[in-house]
Amino acid sequence: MSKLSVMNVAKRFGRKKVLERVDLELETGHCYALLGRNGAGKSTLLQIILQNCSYQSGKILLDGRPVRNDDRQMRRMFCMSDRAVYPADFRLKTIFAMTKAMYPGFDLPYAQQLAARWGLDTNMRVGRLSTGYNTLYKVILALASNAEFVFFDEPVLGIDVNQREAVYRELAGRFAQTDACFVISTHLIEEMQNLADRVIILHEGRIMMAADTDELLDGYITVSGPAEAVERFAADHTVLHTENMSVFRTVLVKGSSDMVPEGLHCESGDLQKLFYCLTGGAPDGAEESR
Amino acid sequence: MELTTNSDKLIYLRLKEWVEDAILAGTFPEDSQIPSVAELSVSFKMNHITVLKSINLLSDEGVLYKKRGIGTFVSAGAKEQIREQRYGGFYRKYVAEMIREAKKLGISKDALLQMAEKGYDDE
Repeated sequence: MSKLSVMNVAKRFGRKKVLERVDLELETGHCYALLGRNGAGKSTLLQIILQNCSYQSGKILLDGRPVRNDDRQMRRMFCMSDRAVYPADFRLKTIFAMTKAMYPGFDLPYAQQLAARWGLDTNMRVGRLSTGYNTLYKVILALASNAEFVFFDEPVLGIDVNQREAVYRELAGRFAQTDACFVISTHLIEEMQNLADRVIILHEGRIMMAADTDELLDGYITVSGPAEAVERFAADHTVLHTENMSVFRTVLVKGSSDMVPEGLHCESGDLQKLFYCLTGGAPDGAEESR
Repeated sequence: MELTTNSDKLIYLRLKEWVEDAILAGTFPEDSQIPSVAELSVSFKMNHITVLKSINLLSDEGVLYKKRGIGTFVSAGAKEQIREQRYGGFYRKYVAEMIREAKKLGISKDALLQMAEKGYDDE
């Protein structure tokens, strides 16, 4: 097993703090969902890990050794991102060849086969690809990279539902085969719930939570019902979020379903709901959180 | 493929239930081989560690057994075993729930019994 450690990383853009003292450990053999609202710092964190972006303090270690200025360490990681890396007139097959030259472990036949399967013509110039295909070719690069730590930044951006299905299937299959560490940053939480065995929530520049998916889903419940009854129940529990709708109230609490009294509705096992509540509900101020 | 999401159970329990349902329905007959962990992962777009957890749980219970280097098979008597295990849960999950809903709607005990009678003959 290999371990990637993000230690005490802080990043500012001018005066704006993007990341504050981020500590994180990633291990091979696990698939992580990196969740966060817009502007939470997900992409910045990935770019820092990959050393594509400067940072004010902290360090990134791979099995205890710094990755900075160490090519061999850097080749153990691969990141697909939405940033344009190659000039628009490059052909896909050129990009595949260049990736192979940079990453000797890159599985070129697999990449070609996957491109054919997903209807990507490798003679195409990268600048002419549609948004969906532009994401797909980057996903292919990442899947075929054979790196120990593979980062996917929005791997289904602009992709229709049919193709998303194919991407998730491929992610699951490849992850099962390689024993690598997959880190998937996404907004489509529901679609990721079965794939990621660990969840990282980045909120306001800090790691708000890093946990086993099952433990997380098992540890929280949403309870709803008449406001008064919910209020009574909530008094004895740690409430993370409250939502009111006239006389009806919903609370997110730490705990399990067997402690909920008769007459109240109880739900668990919904990562999206949990994420929504933990990160402050809807931004329009309609919800009150406490 | 999708696992039913109406139950609010953990993912590995949902898959476990899916395998049990397939055994009960006869899709996976006793002594037949079930799909590999890799196949299940891809079909359900699911983490293989989670799949393995479900399969191991069923093996520990004796519903499935593993043949080294070949795969996972349905045990003889698995159907009967699942039926027995689920029997206890049936009251909690369906009967109690049905009665709660009936009370909510003001359906009397007699009316409910009549419905059960009718439903049993019709279904």
